[in-house]
Amino acid sequence: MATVADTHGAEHEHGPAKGILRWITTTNHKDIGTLYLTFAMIMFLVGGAMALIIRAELYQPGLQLVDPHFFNQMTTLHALIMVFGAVMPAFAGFANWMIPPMIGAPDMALPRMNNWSFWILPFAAVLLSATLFMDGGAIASGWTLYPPLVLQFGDALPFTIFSVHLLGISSILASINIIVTIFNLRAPGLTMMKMPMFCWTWLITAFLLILVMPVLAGAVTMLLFDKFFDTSFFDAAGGGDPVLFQHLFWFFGHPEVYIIILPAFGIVSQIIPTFSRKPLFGKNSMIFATAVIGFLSFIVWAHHQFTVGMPVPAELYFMYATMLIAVPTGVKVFNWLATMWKGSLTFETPMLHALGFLVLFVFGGFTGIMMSQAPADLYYHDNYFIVAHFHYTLVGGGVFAIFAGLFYWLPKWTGTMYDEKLGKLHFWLSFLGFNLLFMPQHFLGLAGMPRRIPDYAVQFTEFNQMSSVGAFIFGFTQLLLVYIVYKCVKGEGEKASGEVWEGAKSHGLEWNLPSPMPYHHSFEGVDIQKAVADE
Amino acid sequence: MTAVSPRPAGGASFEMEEKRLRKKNLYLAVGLGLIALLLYVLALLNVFEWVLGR
Ligand code: HEM
Ligand SMILES: [Cu+2]
Repeated sequence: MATVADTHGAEHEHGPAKGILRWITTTNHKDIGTLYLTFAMIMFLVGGAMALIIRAELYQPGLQLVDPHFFNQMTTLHALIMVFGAVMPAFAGFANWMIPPMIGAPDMALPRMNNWSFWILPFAAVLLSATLFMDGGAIASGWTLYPPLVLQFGDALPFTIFSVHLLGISSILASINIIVTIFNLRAPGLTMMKMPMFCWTWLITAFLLILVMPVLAGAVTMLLFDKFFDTSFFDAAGGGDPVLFQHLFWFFGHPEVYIIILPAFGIVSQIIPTFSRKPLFGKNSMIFATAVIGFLSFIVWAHHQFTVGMPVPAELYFMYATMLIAVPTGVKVFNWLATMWKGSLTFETPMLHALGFLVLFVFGGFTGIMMSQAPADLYYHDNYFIVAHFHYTLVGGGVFAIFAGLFYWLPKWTGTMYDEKLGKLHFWLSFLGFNLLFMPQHFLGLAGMPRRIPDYAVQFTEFNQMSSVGAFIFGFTQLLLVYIVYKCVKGEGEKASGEVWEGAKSHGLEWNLPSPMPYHHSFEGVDIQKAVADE
Repeated sequence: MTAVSPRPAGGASFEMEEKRLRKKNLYLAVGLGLIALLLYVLALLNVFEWVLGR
């Protein structure tokens, strides 16, 4: 077990094990990072294919390609797969690859548990996808799993719930590992406040995960009981209350959106300083803002339930509390802009994606503030405006940050530069495709088009067609990404230096290491004390 | 000793340090796991209903 480097020099002289067994039995943080990222990429394509089915059906009013029940299965599985299968595992992959080298640790603190947290995922994903082929198909309630609707689905329900439990366990184990690693394995001299933003944002994310995943697990367990054991937690006829489920779900669900966006903040906070050739502006306030966002994310959940008939004081409370989040978020955006201010900027692919993130995320934040107004949300709720909002934050924010991090660290991982021309092409096609896809949805929503419906009134046709064309551009552009990554991993391209990006050494420990980093003992031969002191 | 040793400065032989570190890791991990378990139980006990005053 590679917890501590010193005691087992001899047994670790070898490289990775050969063949498939390497991947199944690995306890190496780099291998596990690669597994997470590969899995995320596959799920991204699977979830993306489902999205394209949705957009193909919505290209015209009326029903053409799929029946409505299948359409609703697609919206449900698309969301669950993207959130739990693509975006979260991608960030876990970055955490595994980068947290140990960023803090001067030899590996994650609990390497065997690390292996397990990953290998739960493929089983959960297969289980979830397999429900499509069961009697009655997958559940079609939307990813929010609201009863009583969700209780009406057949064989798929218990399997979906089991899958959600597995996904939750995997996240909790990974979070425990990240917290223990950060608390116990930092190199001497690397104090908490000196730690890079990416580690900070993941630390706070890990706490969010540990605090909310069990609540989701509890909520879906109660669904299971209502369905199979005649309880009535959520059944008014038996003295229960379906709205209770909504409270439980969103107590998980709102922190969940920050679980996705905080690591994205972290990645962008690493990239912008490097390509501005300046240190991050106001790092302490960044850390503080992240913690405040983490805290606030626990006390705003019912802004998803403005239309459910809460008492007016509750509506007011959740409205004001939600608006508060704009303050620490504004601090972050200000700091990123101030970091770029008078920097010597260059615009390599990672920086382009980081700037794409900034523009799109801020846009999504603005529509969020619009919806946080309870009276206005009575109108926005459950129409396409919401769909546009959360895709600007989740895809424009989350996924663009994943792209940014991928291009930023790929040379460090592989020792080979990716193809810069293709990288830029991928950025621009993604950026334009994304906006063509989701910008029109704001107007569809404002004009009254409801979400999660396979048919629509004819006056919505043009904007839906724009959106669908954008979807296919964005979707197929990701095949280009697969090709770029494949080429880079194969070693086709310029050799990358240890520093990779001009001046990066002064932006983090990891850039003091060779590219690729040695399989074991990333820091062999590096004077870590000096590197920490230079930070 | 390679530069990566995460052990804190001073004292005990390395063997001891590694044991201590593993113990520290284990306690923290188990503690966090228990917090997760506690929240699961609280959710099942419908603490929410009580908090929301329903
Ligand atoms: C300034 C910050 C934000 C504010 C004020 C805000 C506000 C809101 C509100 C009020 C809703 C509920 C609308 C409704 O259902 O009627 C909502 C929905 C949503 N938001 Fe945000 N939001 C913010 C940031 C984010 C971020 C950062 C993410 C994700 C990374 C996100 C993801 C979502 C999702 C996924 C939904 C829809 C969930 C569903 O119904 O399926 N939001 N937001
Ligand atoms: Cu929310």
